[in-house]
Amino acid sequence: MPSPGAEAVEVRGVTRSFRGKRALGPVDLVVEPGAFVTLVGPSGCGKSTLLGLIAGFARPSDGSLRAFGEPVGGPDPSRGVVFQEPRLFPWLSVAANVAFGLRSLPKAARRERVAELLELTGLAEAGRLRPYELSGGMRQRAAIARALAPRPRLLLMDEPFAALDAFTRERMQDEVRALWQRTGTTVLFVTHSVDEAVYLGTRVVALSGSPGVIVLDERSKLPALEHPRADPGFAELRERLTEVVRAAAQVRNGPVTS
Amino acid sequence: MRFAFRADPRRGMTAKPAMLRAGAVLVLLAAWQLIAMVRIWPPVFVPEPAAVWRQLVRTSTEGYSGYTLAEHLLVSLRRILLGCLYGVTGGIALGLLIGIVPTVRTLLGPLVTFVRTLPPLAYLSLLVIWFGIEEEPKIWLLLLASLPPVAVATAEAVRGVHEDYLNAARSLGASRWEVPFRVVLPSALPEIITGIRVAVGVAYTTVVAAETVNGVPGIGGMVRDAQRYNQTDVVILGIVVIGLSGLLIDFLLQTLDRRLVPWRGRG
Repeated sequence: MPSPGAEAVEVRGVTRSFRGKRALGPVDLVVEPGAFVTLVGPSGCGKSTLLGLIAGFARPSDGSLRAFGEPVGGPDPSRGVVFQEPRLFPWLSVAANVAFGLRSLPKAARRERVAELLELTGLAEAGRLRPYELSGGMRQRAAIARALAPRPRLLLMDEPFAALDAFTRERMQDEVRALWQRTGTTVLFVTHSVDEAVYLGTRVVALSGSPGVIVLDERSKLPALEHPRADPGFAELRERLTEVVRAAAQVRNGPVTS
Repeated sequence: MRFAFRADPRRGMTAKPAMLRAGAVLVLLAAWQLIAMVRIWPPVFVPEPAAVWRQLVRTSTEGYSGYTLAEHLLVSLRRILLGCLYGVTGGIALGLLIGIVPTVRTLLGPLVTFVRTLPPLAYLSLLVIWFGIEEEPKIWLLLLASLPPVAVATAEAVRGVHEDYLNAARSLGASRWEVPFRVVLPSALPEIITGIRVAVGVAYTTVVAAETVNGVPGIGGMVRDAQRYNQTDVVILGIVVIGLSGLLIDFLLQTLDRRLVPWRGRG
């Protein structure tokens, strides 16, 4: 059983190498329960790799990972994952996709939970549809509902809105913020959009490229505000974060000549 | 907007192409009748369509070689059904193992590829030696003919399943043993069904050839007997029946495909 007082995520000296070349780390990151952590960095900096390690999809080359006090030994329903692509199972209806992680529940409870989640994600009418009959935004909502179904204490999101158009993306950001506030789930959200990171994160973490190490780690009150973008602090943090990410990208790709 | 190429295969055939097709068949029949009537070749080479029709009626009512046309056809179809049932089941199981377990891939992969490249008739003689000339060797032959295409298609599809699907299932609590059945097989379904269509096609061509050895009753056996007695009209009748029933079988499989894999091309 996860211990109640433990940190949501404890990453200690974690590295990950591919064919002898270090791609990530060493990374130290401790996330308190209830936080919404956004992880931002240039492409290829290892942010998705870090998320995959916390999810338990791969093992770190070095260092240790804990989630709610428990060592991470593999994927687990207590750590829900939303991918960049929705990755809904096309042979199942939307409702059956959401129910995928609820096998241990009795039938009636399962149906109730699925209805609740579809309602929560604005898909109440879409349960009987197949994934390919949904729009991009609805698919990603269904993927979020599926990940939330087993009541994970930690939700890992890997650039979940990267493939959506700008309008849908902004709406989804508000929805995921509302979901986070309602469910109290700890969220670790990987993005390459600085704007998104600042808008959503109660804590903003930036990774530099090759190998990815943490170069910025800041708490932010912005997501608690009603209109974060209207706050002067928003532009300020975004500006600073943009600089950091740009500098990190230059280290990786060499200086930009302009 | 109208597209010349219709992407949605579910829309029924409209009147015009249907009439065109019927017209094409009629033109073909007329040409055949004409060639037969002018007697360029004797009727033993080119019988009249009417003669084939008479044979259709005769074999359907009186029978041929002691069995009616329907009986010949049904026996052949039964052989295909049984052989393919075993072959497809074995092919899916084997493909799943080859796709998932690297050791099995190393051990059996080359063997499956080897058997697949063999024309089934190449090992018919061996099967006759082993199992005699009754039903058994024929079922074995069809099993061996239909298994490799399904196994290869399944193995390829299993290896091609995106790891996000596997990871998603695992983090939703699916165990190592559940993943192959709850995720890998269903996501390989489109390729498996394509493999089955190939397998049934191979089995169909094979059964007709296999029935040249003690194949009566059986549509291939019927054609073989007719050839021996120079009854060209029965041979042609057999060919037409084989072709039409083959089309029907493929149509049924296509329908099954649309039912089971409605997401094909829209994943």
